[in-house]
Amino acid sequence: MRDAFFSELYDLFRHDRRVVFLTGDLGYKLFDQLKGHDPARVINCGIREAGMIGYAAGLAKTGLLPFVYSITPFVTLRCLEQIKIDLCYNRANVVVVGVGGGFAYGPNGPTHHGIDDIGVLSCLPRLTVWTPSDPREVRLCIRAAASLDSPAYLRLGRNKEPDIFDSLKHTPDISRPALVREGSDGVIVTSGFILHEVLNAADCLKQQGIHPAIVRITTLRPFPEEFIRAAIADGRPVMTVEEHVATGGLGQETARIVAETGKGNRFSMLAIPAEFPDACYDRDALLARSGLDAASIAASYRRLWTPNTATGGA
Amino acid sequence: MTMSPDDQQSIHQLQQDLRRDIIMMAAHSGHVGVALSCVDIVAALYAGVLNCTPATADHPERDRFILSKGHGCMALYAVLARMGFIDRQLLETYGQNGSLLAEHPLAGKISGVECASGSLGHGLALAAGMAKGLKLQGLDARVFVLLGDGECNEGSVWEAAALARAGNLDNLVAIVDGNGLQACGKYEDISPGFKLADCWKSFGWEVSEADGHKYRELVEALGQASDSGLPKVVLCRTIKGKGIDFMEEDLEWHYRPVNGDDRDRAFRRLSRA
Repeated sequence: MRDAFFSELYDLFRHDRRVVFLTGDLGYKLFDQLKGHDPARVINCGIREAGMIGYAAGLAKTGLLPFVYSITPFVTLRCLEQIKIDLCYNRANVVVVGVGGGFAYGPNGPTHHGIDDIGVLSCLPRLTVWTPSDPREVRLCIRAAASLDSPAYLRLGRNKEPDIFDSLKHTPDISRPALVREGSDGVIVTSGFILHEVLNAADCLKQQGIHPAIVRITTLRPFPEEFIRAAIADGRPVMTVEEHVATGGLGQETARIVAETGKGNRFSMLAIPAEFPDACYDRDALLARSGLDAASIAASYRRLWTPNTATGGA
Repeated sequence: MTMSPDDQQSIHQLQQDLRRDIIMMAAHSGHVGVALSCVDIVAALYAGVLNCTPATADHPERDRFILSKGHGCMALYAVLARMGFIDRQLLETYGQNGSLLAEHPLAGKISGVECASGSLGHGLALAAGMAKGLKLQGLDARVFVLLGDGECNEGSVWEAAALARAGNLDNLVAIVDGNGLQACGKYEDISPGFKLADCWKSFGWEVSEADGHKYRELVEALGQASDSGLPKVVLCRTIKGKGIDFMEEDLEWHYRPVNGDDRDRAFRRLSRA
């Protein structure tokens, strides 16, 4: 995702002179190409995330289009009030780019985990939140940024995410939820690069004769309320899967709609527990410990789909 | 309508008129001492320094002003009304339900307010970004930002100061309203040993000082272009509550609305002065 981001940004940077790249002293060598093209529009702000957001807001207020880049927690929670006031309230069209969303920086520890970014940022009016699921969607988000008139947050993984949409032979549209796999046995709604785990879980379920539809949401804010309402209107079982804590995330938003719709959908929400891990773990281990690896997702869905079997517990 | 007072009497008149408007606005809300501390600086900027009029308030090459210490906004509103950016009638709605003049400037509501402020420590980074944006686009305009000395407690001010220095933003002028009093005490007691002139110098800024209530001195200090290629800060010596003797240097007037006998007394002081 990171390489896709820089390569697509380079393309936009060359053609749109409004684009300015700001980094909080991260991304070693990754923005050299941008610098080679026009060093004046590449600014290493140093380890000053709050200052960097305000600086970007000022740039935007003169008509430029800044992209602000750092590791997820540093460019979100660290400078939250600057995002709220300088960007959202003052309506400055700045793209805040967090690299390493979710557990992408696993062994770096909780200081580097980006598992509460969406919930916190979702409190802020006017902020578009993009959680692309693969490198191709990252490119589409950058193209969409060029026509924004308000701020956006782009949540990236790191650099190993597979090209899901290419393998599905599916042209994604980030502006609306997509049915990435047809299915008649309920629905799994997910967002971001954990889609890969969800698809693997679906493969596993298929072998057991369970065929959930899979929906991915890339533009998470504003939340695609009407789509979800329509998708669950027939009362089918719904599971949400997100690489984020439950608070303020996809699952809570969907649960609200399930409750309001009142069709009696069986519902299950898979999210990261709001607790600090007890030791060092990589992403795969952290996902497994959170019940978010493909096998755990499949097992949870099986319990949702067949609640009365001996192994059930839903 | 714009005005640039050219004699001592009209300068004095302007300063007194602005104070009258501030006292009028402060009937139901606090921060009158703050507004009286910075109003002469804001007046000098709009009347004698800024290349920005109501007609050019959206022009890309206008000079910009950000009131980072947003709680001093009665001063800004009074000046904007005098300079014709907003209708003077609007001042009477200050702080009331449905008014565009909140007790801290709202975003995108009135001509002459570049951005919202109220939470301290935001304005300098915004101003620096604007100054950088103007430079990147080859636009010949300057950006002025007014901070409080208490506001300089905020770490984000110093992040922004470093960014402005790194960008060699000689089109950026920071102004510090140095009245020496914060919300709950004296600046020097809260930040002992933290000498602002030394701090700004150590961040690589061009530093000058001015009496924050003397119009001509302010116009000269603020209007002078930086000759060092560096961002410039003008540290202004001011008096909280300036111009109303019973409010001067008294922390009570950081908070207290001006009504009843106090209001009458304040107007009497102004008419005598």
